[in-house]
Amino acid sequence: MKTINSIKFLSLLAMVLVMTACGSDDPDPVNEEELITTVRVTFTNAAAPTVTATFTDLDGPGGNDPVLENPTLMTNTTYTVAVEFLNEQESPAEDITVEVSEEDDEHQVFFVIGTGLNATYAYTDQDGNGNPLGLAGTFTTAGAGAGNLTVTLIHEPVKTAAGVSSGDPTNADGETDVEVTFSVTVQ
Amino acid sequence: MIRGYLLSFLVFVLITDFAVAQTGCAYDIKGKVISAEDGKAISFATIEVVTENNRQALASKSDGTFEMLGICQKEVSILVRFIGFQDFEQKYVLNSGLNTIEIRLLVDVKNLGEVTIEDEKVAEIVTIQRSEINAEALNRSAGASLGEALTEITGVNMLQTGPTIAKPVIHGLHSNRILILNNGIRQEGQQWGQEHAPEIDPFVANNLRLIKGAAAVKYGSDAIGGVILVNPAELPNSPSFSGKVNLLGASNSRLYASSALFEGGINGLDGFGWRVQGTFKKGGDAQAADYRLTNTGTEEQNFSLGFGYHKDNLGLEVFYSSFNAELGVLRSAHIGNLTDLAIAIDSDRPLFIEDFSYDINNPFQDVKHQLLKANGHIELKDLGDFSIQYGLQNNVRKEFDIRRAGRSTIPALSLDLVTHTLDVDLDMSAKGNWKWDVGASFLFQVNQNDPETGIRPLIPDFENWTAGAHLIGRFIKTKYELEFGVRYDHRHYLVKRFDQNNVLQKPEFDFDNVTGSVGAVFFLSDDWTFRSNLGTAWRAPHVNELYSEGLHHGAAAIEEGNADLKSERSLKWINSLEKYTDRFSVSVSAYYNLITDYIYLRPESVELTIRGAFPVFRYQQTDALIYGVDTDLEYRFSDQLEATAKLSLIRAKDRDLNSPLINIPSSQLEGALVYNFIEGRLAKPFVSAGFRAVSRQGNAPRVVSISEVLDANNNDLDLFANDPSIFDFVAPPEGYVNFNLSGGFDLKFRNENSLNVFMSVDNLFNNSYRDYLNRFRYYADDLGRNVSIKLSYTF
Repeated sequence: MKTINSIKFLSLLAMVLVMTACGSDDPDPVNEEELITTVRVTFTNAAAPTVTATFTDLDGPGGNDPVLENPTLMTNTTYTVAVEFLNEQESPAEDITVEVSEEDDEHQVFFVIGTGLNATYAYTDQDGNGNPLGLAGTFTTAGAGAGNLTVTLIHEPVKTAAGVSSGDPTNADGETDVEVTFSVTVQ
Repeated sequence: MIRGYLLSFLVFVLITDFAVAQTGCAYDIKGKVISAEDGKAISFATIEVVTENNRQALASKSDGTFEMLGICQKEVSILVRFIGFQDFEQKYVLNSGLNTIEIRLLVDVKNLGEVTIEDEKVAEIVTIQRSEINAEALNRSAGASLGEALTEITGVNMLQTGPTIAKPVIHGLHSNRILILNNGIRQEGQQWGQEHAPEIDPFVANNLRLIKGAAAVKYGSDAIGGVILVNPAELPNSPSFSGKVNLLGASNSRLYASSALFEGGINGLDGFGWRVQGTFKKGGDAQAADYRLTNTGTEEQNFSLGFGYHKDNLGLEVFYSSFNAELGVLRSAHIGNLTDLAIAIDSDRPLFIEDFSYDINNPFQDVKHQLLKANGHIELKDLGDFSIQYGLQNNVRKEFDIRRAGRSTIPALSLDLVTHTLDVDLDMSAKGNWKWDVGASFLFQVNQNDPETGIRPLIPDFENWTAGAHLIGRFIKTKYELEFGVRYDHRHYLVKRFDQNNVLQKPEFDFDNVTGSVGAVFFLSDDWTFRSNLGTAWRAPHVNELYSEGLHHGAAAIEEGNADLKSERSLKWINSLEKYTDRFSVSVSAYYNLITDYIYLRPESVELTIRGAFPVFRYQQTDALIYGVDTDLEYRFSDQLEATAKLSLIRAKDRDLNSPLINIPSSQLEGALVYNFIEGRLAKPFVSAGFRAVSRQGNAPRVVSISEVLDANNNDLDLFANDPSIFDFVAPPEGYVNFNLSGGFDLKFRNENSLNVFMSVDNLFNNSYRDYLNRFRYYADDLGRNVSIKLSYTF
């Protein structure tokens, strides 16, 4: 009986030790610096109204559906295109574009034009190695039409692979950080 | 090792002593010591024959027999002891003349009569002779991870994440559904993750043991698939000094490793013993048949220390181990979205192939696991053996990703898990034919995320409190043994998580479970043994299953937790029939595991994110059934030539949806021919040629291609409206057959030191293949040819 009692005592003692010695502090929320919530593509031409296309998913993957604002462009017009990546969970919004341009050799933005959309895209910027980056470019529309424009930001692409520098992401490898598809109308 | 020689020498002295000492008394004993588990002879067991005024000791011979002639008294008690078996003690009233007795030693595993399998054969546990075999078997798999080493056992597979990360799978179950006892302490790492391998250095172990049944009654929750026991050798308890040094190299990943172990007793302090052990392992990029698997290097630095006191009826031990690993993750498997994944799947070769390198770049895992254990036991007269053990574990896991703006040096996942465990157990002395075991266990665990990551954690912070108690009864007869057990467990979670608005929430959960088990072993005629065990096991949903949220990059899916999950419960029936003779051995076991409220990820929808569309999976529950057969055969044609074969068959399904489960091993057949040369200067020289055939998984989940997922998103279709069953992005890979060659020998030196040399070639024909249980089968082939050489010097 004595042994049983000492077993009881030992186990109780251990439980008490464990209970008092531990217990965790409340965690701090994480500041999500890298999150991209928003892609904004701005089309400008001095002779035409400025058009913006946006893709916004404020709560990140999962949760609420993203909100899309699709662009309508004029025929036979050459627009200057600027792309911005933002984290709008922060206030004021954090401009991720800065990080992309700082690491220009490790990033490239692609503009893939779908069927039905009569337009072409051309890069007007370069990274330190003379390869395209894609934060700036021109978008030239031809006749009226409608179709998809997929804007892709790839981290660590192989810029020297076939077709990559002319804007085809097929052989780019790397990791896709952003891939949003706008429905573009040219009229 | 050296103790083995010492013991046999001692035994020799005792026998000669005895032969001289005998007188002309009238009682003779001839007997044999065998294992109750498999009927095999046990050599070098210590046998004491105690009469009223005399005590004689001798050892069983290599065939297990012993004889003691000319005993002067009619009433004797016989005590038999051997490492790895329970002590045997019985009183005999002798007839004059010759008395023949058979002594069956029970294996010292406090299980419920489930199949206990280790290395290649059943219950070849730590006998002196056999520990050499065990050390040998471990030497042969030296350099392999624990998960890889365990695949030697029929019915055990590994779930891989590339060549560096392997998790053991027992009868189709893994991660939180199996339990690993490392040195008697339940291993508590982040085992919920499919890409989180057990943090254990196999070099610490002297043997690996596996219980394939639902052994929850003894060991607590999670033991649904089975229990893996990683056991170091017993500490020395008398003044001595010995050790072992391993060196190995392997061609495939240009791996080199060394491990050293020293142990001894302390002069003048009888009963004290110590051991130090350390391992260093470095491997570079592995090689598939046709290309390098870039960024699959590893580096491990582990060490352990043990100190103990063992005397008579008392034992105390302190053990510390530190495991540190860096594991590279195949560069090409790092994808950002479904488009990347589709490109990877469509490509025959991985997208990143670079020249060989030892560098470990992002993505990689940095895992540290420390264990501090203190335990003691005392044999209480007339009551039994009382033991208590406390374990403190700290698991720190950091996973580094490829990130922007210099953040690649900041972990993307950083978890710190601290676990305290306390176990008390009373293994009561046999009373008549009955033997009882009663015990209790406690666990307290804190998981914390380091907010340095700048990424919402995959799994929230939590506290886990668990307490349980068990009672196991055994009824032991010569021809059979019956066992039953009951256990009660309570688990409490306190979760600390942030909702979408970063407001702290502290939900709490309680789970109560009663589990039970009944089993029997029958020692049939002609050395057949039949076992049957029906056991239940349970596990509470893990916190990741309750609260996962967001994109799981490795799986290219959005995974959502489900706070309404209940405990998962399993009922496993396992039957086995075995026979071991000098000529052949055969073991067949069949199991049927019914799991109610089986927790799994069920596809629900397709969701658009800024990275494009992803399928959304949510943790749900169903009833699952897993059944199968494991067969082991061994046949000795002559003293030189023997053949072995292992077959495992397994089937699994979701009973609610009548669909297959994912990542279930396919049927496998392994065979080998072993030729043992006649011993000369070299001891145990042998060569072996074998094969491993793995069939295509014909019972895999349906395929839903990436383009179907993307189409569903574009056209706003509900892809899973008609069929919510699990799917895979690609069909399982074809079956394959790989061949291997190996050979080795022992070189004995005059001073009793020995050198074991083992060479092997795996995947002899450099076959290119993909394995269904390798999660990187989407991206790259499995390993090509690997030539390795392993040296082990024992002194």
